[in-house]
Amino acid sequence: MAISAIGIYGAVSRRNPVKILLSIEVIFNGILLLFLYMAWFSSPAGGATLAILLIGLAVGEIALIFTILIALLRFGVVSRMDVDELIVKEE
Amino acid sequence: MNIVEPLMLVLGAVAIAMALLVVHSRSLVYSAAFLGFLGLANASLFAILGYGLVAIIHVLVYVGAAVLFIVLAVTMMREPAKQYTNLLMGLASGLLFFAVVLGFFWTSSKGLAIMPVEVEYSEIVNYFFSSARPAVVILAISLAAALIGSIHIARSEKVR
Repeated sequence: MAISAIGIYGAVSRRNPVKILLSIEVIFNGILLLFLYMAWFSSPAGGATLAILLIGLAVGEIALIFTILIALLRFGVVSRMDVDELIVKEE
Repeated sequence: MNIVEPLMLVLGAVAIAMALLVVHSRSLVYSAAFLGFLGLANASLFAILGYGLVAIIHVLVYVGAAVLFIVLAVTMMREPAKQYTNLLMGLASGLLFFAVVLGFFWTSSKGLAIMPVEVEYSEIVNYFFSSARPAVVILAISLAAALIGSIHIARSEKVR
């Protein structure tokens, strides 16, 4: 729970999208640990299966978000990594 | 004396310290590296809880592939060049890394499980192909879509 709380603090307080993504990964790590601990009491095999699926999903999520961020920088849509820059503004 | 419970407390404290360093570190590369250490500490805790297979997959897939990808991607983002010459921080990181890796291999090799879970690998495979089959299919489609989307974005010359 403490790890997830630290991750939530980081995700809310940071402005860099990469830092926010890293904080979300910290939340994921904390929740996964808590989930596996709770699964021991009900269905350990089901918990392990779901944990493996969640790890795969997290890897896909990281790959896609980083691809989008690098593309935004490379094509000049944003000049620097800041969440305010990523918000589309009406002209 | 049971050594597993103090080891679990130490690994939990290391995991919390790593989470704090991920959030507070100024350099993105350092943050990503600390996330890798957090993954290793978490995998050690999984091994202690008795989930050996999940621990191995967490190290191989999450730490080995995802965190390495983050480090590579962050180096492509033209982070402002700064000189980090904090010797104390480097020494502490190296020692923590050594302790976490040692803890992971030690807990894995000794089979030190505080709450040994009797999970057969065949039972997990049965879950994959029975009740978890829709989730596996959706995950496969999502990963394939992410792969195709990533290739498309990387090959595009201009965003319209």
